[in-house]
Amino acid sequence: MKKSVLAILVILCMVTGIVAGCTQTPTTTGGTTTGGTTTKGTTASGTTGTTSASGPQVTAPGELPVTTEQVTLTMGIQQNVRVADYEDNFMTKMVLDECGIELDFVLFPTDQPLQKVQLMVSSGEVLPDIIHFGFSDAQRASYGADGVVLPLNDYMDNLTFWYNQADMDAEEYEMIKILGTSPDGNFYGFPAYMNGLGDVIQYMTNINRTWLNTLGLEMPTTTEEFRNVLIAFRDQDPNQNGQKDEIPFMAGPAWSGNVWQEIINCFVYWDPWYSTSYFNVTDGTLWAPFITDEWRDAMRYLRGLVQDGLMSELSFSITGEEMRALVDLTPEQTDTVGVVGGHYIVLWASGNEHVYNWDVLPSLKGPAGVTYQPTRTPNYQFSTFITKDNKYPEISFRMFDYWWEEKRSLITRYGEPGVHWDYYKDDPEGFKAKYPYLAAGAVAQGLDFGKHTQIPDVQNPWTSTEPHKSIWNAHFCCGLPSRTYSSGVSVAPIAANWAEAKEKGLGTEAHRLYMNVNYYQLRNGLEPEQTAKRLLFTQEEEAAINEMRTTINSYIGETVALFATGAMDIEKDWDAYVQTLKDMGLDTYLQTSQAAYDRMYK
Amino acid sequence: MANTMKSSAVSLAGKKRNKGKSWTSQFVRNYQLHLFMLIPIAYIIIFNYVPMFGIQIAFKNFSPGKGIWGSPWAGLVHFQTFFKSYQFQRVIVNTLRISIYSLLVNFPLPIVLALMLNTVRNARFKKTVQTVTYIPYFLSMVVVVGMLVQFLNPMTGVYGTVYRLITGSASYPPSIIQKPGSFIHLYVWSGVWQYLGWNSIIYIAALSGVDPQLHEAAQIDGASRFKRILTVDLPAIIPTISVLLILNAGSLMSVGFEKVYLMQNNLNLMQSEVISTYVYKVGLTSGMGNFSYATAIGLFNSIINCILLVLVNWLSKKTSENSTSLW
Repeated sequence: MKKSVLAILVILCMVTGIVAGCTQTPTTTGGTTTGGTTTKGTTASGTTGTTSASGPQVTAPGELPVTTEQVTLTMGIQQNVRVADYEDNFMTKMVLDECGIELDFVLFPTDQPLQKVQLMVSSGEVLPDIIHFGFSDAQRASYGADGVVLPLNDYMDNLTFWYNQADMDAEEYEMIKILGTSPDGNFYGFPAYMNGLGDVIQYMTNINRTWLNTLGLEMPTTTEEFRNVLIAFRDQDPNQNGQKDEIPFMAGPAWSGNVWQEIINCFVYWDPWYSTSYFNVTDGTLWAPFITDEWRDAMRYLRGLVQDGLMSELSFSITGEEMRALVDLTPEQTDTVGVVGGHYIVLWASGNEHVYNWDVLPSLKGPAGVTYQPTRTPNYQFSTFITKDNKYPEISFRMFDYWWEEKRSLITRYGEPGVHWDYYKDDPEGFKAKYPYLAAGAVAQGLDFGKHTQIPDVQNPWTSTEPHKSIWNAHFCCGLPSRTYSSGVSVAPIAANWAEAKEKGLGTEAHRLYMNVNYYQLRNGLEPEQTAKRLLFTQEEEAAINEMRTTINSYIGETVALFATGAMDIEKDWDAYVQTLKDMGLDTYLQTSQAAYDRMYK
Repeated sequence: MANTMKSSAVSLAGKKRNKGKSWTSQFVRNYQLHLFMLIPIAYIIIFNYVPMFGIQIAFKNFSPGKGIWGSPWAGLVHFQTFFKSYQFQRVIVNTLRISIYSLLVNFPLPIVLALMLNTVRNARFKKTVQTVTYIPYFLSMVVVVGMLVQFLNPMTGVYGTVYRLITGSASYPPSIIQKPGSFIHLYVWSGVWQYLGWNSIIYIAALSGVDPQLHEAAQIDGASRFKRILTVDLPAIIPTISVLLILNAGSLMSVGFEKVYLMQNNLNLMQSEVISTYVYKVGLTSGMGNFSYATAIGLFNSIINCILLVLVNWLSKKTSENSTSLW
């Protein structure tokens, strides 16, 4: 497999590379490679100078259409199987009508789109005017530095209009600036921002409430109480079938479900969500949580759970499907699991009534009385680019900005207004009358009313099972801060607790929602003041630490499993473990990350 | 035997006929044949030789924006990184261990199966066994590993159910797939199950070419069935065996990526991290994709494989009487 992948890559690179060899000189000397200052000069003069001669002109920010004459732009985008047609498409037509831009699509294959993009770039082919693709931060910086995509610094300052009107805070704008600015000081990808409150909580750990009630136990709040509950689950036959077939605790890799990671957070903060940084930060100084005594205590605790048969040792190798097989049972089957990690969406099929047995486990306080809950950072994407071959960069940019208008942003996500979803501002009174239940959730966010909602019983094109011609199913330049994005669902609890939910006799879907909302209520806000989640490295830094970072990250995951299952001894092997991390280059990795952190946040 | 005699006769005749004629007139005379050869030659040049220029990115800091030729030279940096890497020793040792174990088990068993099938008289039984044993070859690797994982699941799998049935206890057995030491055995023996039948086909084909007269002569001399396998069948397929052994030695450093990657988990990583999975993780999935590094490791791998191939070929030439070798 490796061989063939490599071979194909090399073959293709080579075949096309020969062609590139001949044509390359003109393309790489664009002048954009040198960084912020020079580009600023060229683009600023470009705005007033060269394009003013003739042809389509860009109109003033906030004005529609965005161009004086209709232009045709090509756009490269990853093909989504749900979209039946990109050209004969509601969104595409809207752009033509409102912006005066006709879009031609260059579709990247659904499977391995990155290869296609890289080949187009390295072969020196003429690129689409616009590329919408989710490069990694490092790739974005690299393409920017090589002059493949244009820096947007000037446009961000001078050509934005709707971007500045989004319903979000100054900190959020600041964050977009920090995360979007590549280490060379340039801003290459136009931002898309999504902050859905339902996605904030990183870990969801479900506890079998029926078992707790059967055994007359309280909901655990500390690691010690949690351990006692597990012991009771193990010994007292909570499923009452006379057999000792209970698995007190199963952690695993289901989405939102690596509970062993959550257990570590009862001792020391650790957020492995972004693989670019496993470090914590205090007073601006980065430090490695995985060599601290707290981490060691966490390992001891985990080892204790596994050793006493409280936590299944399978937790470290089980797959998501296997976890689901354990809990997504038929009505005749009895539960055998007491605590399981994962989002209800992946663990229980829609309509399965076993979900009624489950409740939210609050974040547990460790022996030191602390608990942390890493949250998923809002989704900041910088994936829309103006390429070097684009003749109308200003006009393209105005179109990006246009998508940040609230209703347009909602269209990119939910489809055609009035068909798939309703927009509050289109008909406030009608909307209020039609969806009275939205008020509670919206008020909790400081709004009078929900801004939008999906029309019930209509398939949302984003997750539709049938191909549609409504949207592009891409996070295209949208501005969806939480007050916009999450105002269409209730974020206020449907029931204050499990008993109330049960008493109300809510349907399975409502019970699931109850759990989701309560996770947010119980677990949000348990993060340290400062975190260093997403670090942007220069290309030199990236080259220097890439190997050691991969090795170290993988070694941490491996040793947690080894410590917990007893293959490594926490007392005897700890020093060797720390030494190994140092040998792998931990100090260099830490220093480099510190440099990146300082550059971004100081 | 008969075949080789025939072919040598043909070549002798050819030599005689061509005597005194110039190379060019010969070429022109047989131009159709040479035209035929053009297609495979073009194929090999385009797909095997041209891509070799891409190897240069092992010595460069490849950046897709600059392309293969435009990327700056980096010298031997990527090789040094690999040799100094903490993982170097681990991946080399694991690769060799899995590969050698695999060779020791997977190489002789198909020969044994082929010899056994060849001795079976009932043609229908023979065909059935042959079909049944080679069918697993056509299963996708993802499916095979999925089956393995499911069967061996101590809670929901056959293994857990049978264990609980036999011992009569309600608790679950220890997980096999989690034991670092069991990885290599699972890997190799599931490979035997999957490839045994397929690999034996070539030997069965070779055995079908054995002259029946030899068997008759041996029978008249009073050789038993087993004796005949040792003295007639086995020598007949020795050339096939040695050529295949040489080829296998040439891929000693490469352990297939797919299966190892699918079977990996955090607990068996110390035994299951091999060169190809390491290259995938460091070179292709992390950060911006370190293609140069991945290529450097791939190149290093190929060079070792090439050396091994030449070495084993040379050994085979030296040791065997009729000097079986690739060239």
